[in-house]
Amino acid sequence: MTKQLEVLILDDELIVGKRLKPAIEKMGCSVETFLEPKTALSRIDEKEFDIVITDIRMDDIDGIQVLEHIRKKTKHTLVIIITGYAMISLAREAMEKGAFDFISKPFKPDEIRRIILNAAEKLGLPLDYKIGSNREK
Amino acid sequence: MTSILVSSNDKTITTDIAKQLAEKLDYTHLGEQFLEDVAQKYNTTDEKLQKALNWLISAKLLSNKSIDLHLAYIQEAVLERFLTDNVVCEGLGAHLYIKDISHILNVRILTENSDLKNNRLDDKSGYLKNFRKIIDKTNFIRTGSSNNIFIYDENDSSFYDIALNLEKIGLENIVDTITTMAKNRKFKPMTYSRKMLKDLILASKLRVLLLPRFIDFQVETKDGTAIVTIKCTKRQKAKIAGEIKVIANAIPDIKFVEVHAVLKLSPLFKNSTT
Repeated sequence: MTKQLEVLILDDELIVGKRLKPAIEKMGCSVETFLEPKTALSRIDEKEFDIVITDIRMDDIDGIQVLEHIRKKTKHTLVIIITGYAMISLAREAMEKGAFDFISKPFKPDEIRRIILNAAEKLGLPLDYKIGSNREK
Repeated sequence: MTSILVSSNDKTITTDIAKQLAEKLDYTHLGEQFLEDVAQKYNTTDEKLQKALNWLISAKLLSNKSIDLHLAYIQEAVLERFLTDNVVCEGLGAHLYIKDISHILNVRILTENSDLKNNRLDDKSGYLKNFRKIIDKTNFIRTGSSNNIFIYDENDSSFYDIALNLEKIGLENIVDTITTMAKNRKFKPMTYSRKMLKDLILASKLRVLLLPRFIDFQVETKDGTAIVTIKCTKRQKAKIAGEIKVIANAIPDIKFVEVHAVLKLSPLFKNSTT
């Protein structure tokens, strides 16, 4: 039986998790969402996720710190950065520190799904999902 | 993979470095030979494209419609080529219109003009002093040109990701330095940078289509929305906006067009896509 991809979403905007969770679950992934970085990091310390999607600008702990924390813990977890404040310097910093991908908000669900498919491929856990197969309104 | 832009005030040096980089990294070298492909794509001639490129590096400030159009052809074709990655580009003015794409490494080679350097040792007649004055003046005017056309001062090192002084570190070290930098993870392509490149490409495609009909305008695209700022009166705007939207329909990836009318378009924005 193929292992289900475990995804964690961290964003202090409620709407992001609310929209992304069903969109990614439709791909056959198991998804947990968090609003608070500290809570998310505690969960990351308990469980090894395959993919972590994190915002950058959050209170107390930012997405780059989350990325660094994950990178210290494991090489397995792929980190996808999402941000409404994309800049070339930030993008390069995230990639240098080991992010798998970097995408600016707003984005369409299919865009993040494409990244998840690539990430799953890289992890050796390809997903049986075709972009556009579940059109959302 | 990271793509690379190489530029300097000396064409020979730039081409030499670009060729060495392409060989070392197993990349495609995109130089003036690419003009043949552009000529074929747009059913024009190498000569007209070369004339447009020559204008770009000349001291002249005023262009004409043909130069603008041929520069737009070059810009669109070069930008599209970058979608395939693994490119080292030089001599096509790309360092002036490819900006803020995180996976494209923009390199400036700081060098004296080779004519000036070759005459350095013999200055009994005062030729060198006068020659230097001419070069300085050309650089000053060229700085003005690049400022007027593409906003950026191409002689300002801060505009580039890295500026390397050929006289101080030598050709081999320059090639090695750029090769090492290109392998750095921070210059890897990502969804964000690819999207920005696609936006530039869309804007350049629209520019190519609009130029035969309009002159003073600027095009910007983001996520399928094109914003065209054009010099015209409010009275003319409705008619012009209608024409622009019909023209933009020819590009399938442009979903929506916004047209802004301005009475005065700053020369800083002429010939630019952002």
